[in-house]
Amino acid sequence: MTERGDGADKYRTDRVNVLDRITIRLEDLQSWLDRWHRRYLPGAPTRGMRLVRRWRSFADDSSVTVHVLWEVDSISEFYGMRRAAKADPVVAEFWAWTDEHAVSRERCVLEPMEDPS
Amino acid sequence: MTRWVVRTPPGVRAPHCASGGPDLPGSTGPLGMTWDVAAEDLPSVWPGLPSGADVVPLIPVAAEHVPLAGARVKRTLLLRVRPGTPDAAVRRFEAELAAMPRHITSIHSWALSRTTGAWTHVWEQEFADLDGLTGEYLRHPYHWTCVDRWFDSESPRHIVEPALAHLFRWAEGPVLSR
Repeated sequence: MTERGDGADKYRTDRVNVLDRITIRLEDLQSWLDRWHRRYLPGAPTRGMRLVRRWRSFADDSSVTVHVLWEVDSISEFYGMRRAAKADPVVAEFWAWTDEHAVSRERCVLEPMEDPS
Repeated sequence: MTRWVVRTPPGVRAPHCASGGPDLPGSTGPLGMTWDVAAEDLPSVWPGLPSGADVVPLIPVAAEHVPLAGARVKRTLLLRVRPGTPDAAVRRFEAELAAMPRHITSIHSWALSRTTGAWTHVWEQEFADLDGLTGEYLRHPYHWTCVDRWFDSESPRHIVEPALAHLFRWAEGPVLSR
């Protein structure tokens, strides 16, 4: 976790996490997962993103939320990832398709906190 | 008195009432020089304004003057919010931008304005040095975990169009002093 202070490195963090949460109807889930696997996942490493883990949870009796946690090496890499995604029409097309089919989605960018000890 | 941001090609001569200078390396979308002018009628104080200049009149939303002695880095971000964005989202975007100086101590004077034409908003700051902009401003978590989502093309909350002008230059003295 970054701390406010007087040092030049006071806002250095060695990791940024990105959490995508996509809620989608059960009947659309497999086609979304297939598309994510074919269209989004292959380009992610070239943008500096590493997949950490995916989870799913039922949002209600007819839809599921897919939680996808990514890791990026640094704040600089995060901004580089943003620039690369902005320039990539495949990424734009993937999210446009997702937004047409998903019930809802969100992306949270997370600053890691130190483990309690 | 209206404030104006004017972007011109390099080598342009400006009136004495204009503060300006060459856009520094690392600027995004520069024309060459960026000027700040306070005038009721820009053409009357700058009759030789180049025809290709990008003239941006500023309509104040929020601002704060923070004393800072000597030269400083003046940063200007020109952006366009997507047409059709709900007013509530625009107001929240503006509020989150205007809250940045509460978190990011390297920001001295600042101003958030609306405008008309090719851009919708102008977000300006003064920094004591370049590190204030490229260091704390960009690296503070309030920036990249909160404000950035309005700009992030992958975020469902993004409302800012991809084409930006992120311009910074040296200024001999205060620019955002009024």
